[in-house]
Amino acid sequence: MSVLTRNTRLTVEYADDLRLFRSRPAQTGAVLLVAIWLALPMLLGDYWATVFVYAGIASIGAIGLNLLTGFTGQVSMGHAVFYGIGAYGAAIFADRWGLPFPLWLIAAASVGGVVGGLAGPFALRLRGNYLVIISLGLLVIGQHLFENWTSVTGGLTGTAVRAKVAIGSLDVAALSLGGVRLSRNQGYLYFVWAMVALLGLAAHNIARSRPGRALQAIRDRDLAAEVIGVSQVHYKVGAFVLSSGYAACAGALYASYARYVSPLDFSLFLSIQFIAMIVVGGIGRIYGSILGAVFLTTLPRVIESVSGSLPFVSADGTGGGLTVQSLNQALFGVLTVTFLLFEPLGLAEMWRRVTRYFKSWPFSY
Amino acid sequence: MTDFAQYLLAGLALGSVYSLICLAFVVVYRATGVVNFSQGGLVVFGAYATYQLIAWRVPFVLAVALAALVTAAVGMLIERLVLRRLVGQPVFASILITLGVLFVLEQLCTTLWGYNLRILGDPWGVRTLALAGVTIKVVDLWTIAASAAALIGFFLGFRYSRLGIAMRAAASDPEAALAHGVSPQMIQGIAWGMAGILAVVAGVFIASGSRGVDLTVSAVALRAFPAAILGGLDSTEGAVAGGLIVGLVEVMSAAYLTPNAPWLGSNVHVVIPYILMIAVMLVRPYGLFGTAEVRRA
Amino acid sequence: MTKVSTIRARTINERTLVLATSALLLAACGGESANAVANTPGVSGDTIYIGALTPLSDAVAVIGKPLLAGLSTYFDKLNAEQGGVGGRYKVKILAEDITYANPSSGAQKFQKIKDQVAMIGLVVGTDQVNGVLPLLAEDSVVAVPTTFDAEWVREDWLLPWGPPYQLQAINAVGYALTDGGLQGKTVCTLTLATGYGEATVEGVEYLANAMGFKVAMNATFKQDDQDFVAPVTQLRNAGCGVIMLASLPSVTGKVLGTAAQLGFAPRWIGTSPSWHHALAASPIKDYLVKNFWVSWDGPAMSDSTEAGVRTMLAAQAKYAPGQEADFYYYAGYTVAFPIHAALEKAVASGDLSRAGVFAATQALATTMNDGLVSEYVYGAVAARNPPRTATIFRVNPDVSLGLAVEKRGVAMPAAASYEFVKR
Repeated sequence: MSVLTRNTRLTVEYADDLRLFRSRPAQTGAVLLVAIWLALPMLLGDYWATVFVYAGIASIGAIGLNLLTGFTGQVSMGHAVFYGIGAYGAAIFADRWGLPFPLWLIAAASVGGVVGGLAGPFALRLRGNYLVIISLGLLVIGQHLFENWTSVTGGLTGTAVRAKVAIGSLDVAALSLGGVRLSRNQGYLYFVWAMVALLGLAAHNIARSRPGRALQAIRDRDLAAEVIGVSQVHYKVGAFVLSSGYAACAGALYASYARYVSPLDFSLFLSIQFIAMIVVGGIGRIYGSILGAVFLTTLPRVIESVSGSLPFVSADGTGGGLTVQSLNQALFGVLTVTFLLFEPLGLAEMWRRVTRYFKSWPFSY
Repeated sequence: MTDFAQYLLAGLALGSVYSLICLAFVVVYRATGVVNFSQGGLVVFGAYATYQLIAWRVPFVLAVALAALVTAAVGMLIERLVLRRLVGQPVFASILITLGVLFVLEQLCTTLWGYNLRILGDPWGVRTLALAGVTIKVVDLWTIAASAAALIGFFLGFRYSRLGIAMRAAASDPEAALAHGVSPQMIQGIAWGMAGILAVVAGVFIASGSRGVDLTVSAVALRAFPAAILGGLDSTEGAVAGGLIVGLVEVMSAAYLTPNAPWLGSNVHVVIPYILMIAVMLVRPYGLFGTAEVRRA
Repeated sequence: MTKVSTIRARTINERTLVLATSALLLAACGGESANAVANTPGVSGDTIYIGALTPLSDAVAVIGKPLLAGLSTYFDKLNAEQGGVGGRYKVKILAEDITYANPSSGAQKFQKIKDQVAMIGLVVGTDQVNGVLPLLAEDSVVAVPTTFDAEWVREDWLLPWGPPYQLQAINAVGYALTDGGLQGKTVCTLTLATGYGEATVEGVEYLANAMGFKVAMNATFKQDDQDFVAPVTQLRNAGCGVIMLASLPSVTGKVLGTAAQLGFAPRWIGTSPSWHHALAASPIKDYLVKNFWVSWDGPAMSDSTEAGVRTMLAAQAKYAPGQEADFYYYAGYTVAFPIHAALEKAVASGDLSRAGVFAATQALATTMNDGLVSEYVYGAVAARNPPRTATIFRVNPDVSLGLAVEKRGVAMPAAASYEFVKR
C-alpha cells in the first residue's frame, strides 16, 4: 500500500471535480441543510417565515440569472419580465385553465423559457453595455404589455391569483405534521425551499457538465469557443431559455404565495435586485446565488429589527434623520459597491476562504 | 398644420433635454467606458441644489452656476471614491455600481430636502411667445439653445482644446496618452465633473415653471437611455441626434399613434423609443454614430 | 419600541381556539370584563396598538408621512385629553415603512406586525391593499384602506373611509355641468395610468351614462412623462370644456403649466391626490385660480369658523408642531374617526379580540367626524354606504393649503345611484 492513500479532500482525478458532494464535510453540510430545512419552519413565526419564503423565491430567480450572467457572461436587466410572465402564467394556467399543481408551474415556467429563447438572438448580435440596454428595452416593452394587455394580465390594477400548490388532498397551505396543523407560511417555507434545492441541484448539474463548460467557454472567449466546436447560437439561446424559465418559475411561485400580482411587481428595481443578489452572492456560483438572495432579502428586515438601537435612524422617520428604509436603500447601494470593489466573487468566495482555511489547517496556505 | 408645428417644437424641446442627458452619458462613457446609471441622481440633486440656492435669494444665473459647481464636485467625488476603483471590472459591475450611487444620491436628496414638491423659482415661469399661431414656450427656446451650445462646445472642445484632445487621447489609448503626460484619472474626474454640470442644466429645464422639484425628476434619465444608444454611446453628435430623434418620436407617437391606434395600448410613447432603439441596434449594433468595437478573440 | 405581549406562530386551530375562548369569556362575564383582553393580539395592559402600513421613504412618502402624522395626532390628543378609548385604553400606532412600488412589501410588513396590533389603521396604495387583502381574511384582521377605491366598500375585512374616486368624479363633473355654470360643455378626462386613474374615468363614464352625454376623450399619461403638449393639444382639439384630472402633484404642475402656455383654459377638476399646496405659489397660480377645482369632502382647512377644523389645527399645533398641516395630514386625521369609533364599540362590548373588533366594525352605524368629512354609513358590509356628497374647492393662494370652498354638499343624483358591488 502506498503512502498516498486516497484522500477525499484532494482532487486527484477528473471525476472528483464532477462529483456532486466532493468531500465528507460537504456531505455533512448537505445533511445539516436538510435538518435546518426541517426545523426552521417550526422555529420561525409567520413574519420570518414570510421573509424566508420570499428569500427562497428570490433564490430561484437569482440562480436563473446566474446561469445567464455568471456562466454565460450575458448581463440582463430584463429578468423581471420573465418573472412577471411566470406570475401571470400561474394566474392563467391555474385559475383560468384549471390546471392542477405541477402542471401550472411547469406551464408557466415553460412559457417564460420560450419567451426568453426569443430574446436570445439579440444577445448574439450585441454585447456588453449595448446588450444591457437592449434588455432594459425588453423590460419596458414587458411592462407595457403587463399594463395594457388587460384580458390576460388584469391591466393596471393587476389580478388576484389562486394557484394552489396542492396534489390531491395534500395542500401546502394546509399541511399537518404529526397532528399539528402548519400555517400557510410554514407550509410554503417547506415547499419553496424544497424547490430551491431541486432547481439548485439541477442548475449545479448543468453547470458542472458539458453544457455548463460550454457556457463558460463562451463567457471567457466566445470566438475561441466557437472554434473548438461550441455552437454560440445553440448555447446562448439555451442559456436564455434556461434562465428565463427559472425566473418564470420563481414568478409563478411568487404569484401563488402572494395571491395578487400587478405590473408594479415587475419593475426595473426587481431586475436590479437580481443582479445585486448574484454579485453579492457570487458570480458563477450556484450556491452563491442562494447566499446572495437570502442575504439581500433578509438584511433589510434584520436592520429594521435592530433599528431601535441605531442612532439617526427611526422606524417611521418621525424622529428626524433617516428612515430605516432610506438606510436600507442607501445600504443596498453601498453594499453592492463594496462587494464589487472588495470582494468581486461575493459571499461564495468568502465562504470558500473560510472552508479552505479549515481544510488546510494547520497550514495557512 | 399649426398642431404639427406645435408638436415639432415640443419634440425638439424634449429632445434637447434628452440630448443634454445623453451628452453626459457620452462624456462619461468615452472617458471611462461606463454607462452611468446614476445620471438621474445627479439631475435631481442638481435641481434641488438650484432650488435651494434660489430659495436663499441667490440670483438665478448665479444659482445655476453655483449648483453646477457643487454638482460637478459631487460627480468628481463619486469618480474619485468609487468609479476609479472600477478599472477592468466587467460590465455588470459598472452598471450595479452606478445604480448603487443613484440610490445613495436619491436618499441624500430626500434626507436634505424631504418629499414635498418644491417650486424651482426660475425666471421663465410659463411665459410664452406667439409666432404664426404657434405658441413658443420661452423655456423651450432656452432648452434648445443650451443643448445646441453644449453640442458646439463639446464638438469644438474635443477637436481643438488641449483638454479635449487629451480626453480623446485617453479614450482611444490610455497607455499612449499616459506616456504623453495625460493622466487618465484626471480625465475621468473631469468627465464626471462635466456630467454633473450637464445634469444641473438638464435638471433646471425639467423642473422649471410649475413642474417643481421632487424625487421623480430623476426618472428622466431612464427615458433618455434609448436616445443615447440610438446615437451611439461614444459619439457626441450621436447623443444630440439621438436625443432629438427620441424627443420627436415620443411627442409624435403621443400625438398621432395614441389616438389612432388604441390597440397598441395607452402611453405607447413610452415604449416606441425603446422599440426604435432595438430595431436600430439590430441593424447597427453600435448606434447610428457610434464606433464599432474591434475585438480580438 | 415597547415590547408587546403577542401570540406567536398561531395556527388556524389555535386561532379558532382563541376566538372560541374569548367568546366563552365574553358569555361568562356578560360583556364587561378585563379578562376579555388578556392574551388579545394588539392589546397590552391598557394600551391598544394600531398598525400602519405606509410609505415613509420613497417618492410616495409625500403622502405617507403626513397621513401617519395626522392619524398619530388624533390619538395622541385622545390619549392625553380623554384618557384614550373608553377613557381607559391608550392607543398607540405601530408604523411600518412600505415601498409603494412593491406590492409585496405591505404584505410582508403585515406579517411582521399582525400579532402586535388590534387592527391596521392605514394601508397606503391600491396595490398594497390588494396584496394584504387575502391575509386579512386569513388572520381575521380589520384594516382601513387609505385609497378611495370603490372595490373596498364591500370587502368584509376592510373598514373603508372617504368618498370613492368614482363618486368624487361624478359629483365634481356633475356639479360643473349643472350649478357650476358649464352646462353643455364637452367632458373629457386626463388620468394617470394607474388603478386610481381608471377609477376616476369609471366615475365620469358613469355620470355620462346617467346624464346622457358622451365623454369626448379619455387621455392617460405616465408619472415620468416630461412633455404634455400632445395630450393637452388633443384635449383642446376635442373641444373639452370640463376635464377631470387624476394626477399627482408634480405632474399636475406640468400638465396645467402646458395648458396655460398653450392658452387652453377649460375647467380642470382634480381628484384630491392631484393637489399640493406648493402649486398655489407656483407660476401658474393665476391660471389655477381661474381654471382649477379640486374635488374632495368637508370644509376648507383654512375655515376657522368650523369647530372641527379649529380642533384639528389646535391638536396639530400641540401634538405635531413640526408637521406641516397639509392635505394628507388632514386626511390622516380624519381616518382616525372610524378607527376610534370601532374601538370604542369593541371596548364597550368588552371584546377587543379579532372577533370583537370585527363585530364592532360590522355594528358601527355612522361615526363622529367633527364635520370634517361626510357621513359614512357602516353596518353590515352589504349595506355600507360611503359618503355620496362632495365639496368642490377652488384655488385661493391667500389661504392655508391654497383651497377655498367653491361649493359644499354637492350631491348629484348619479352619485346617489352609483352601486358598489363586491368584485
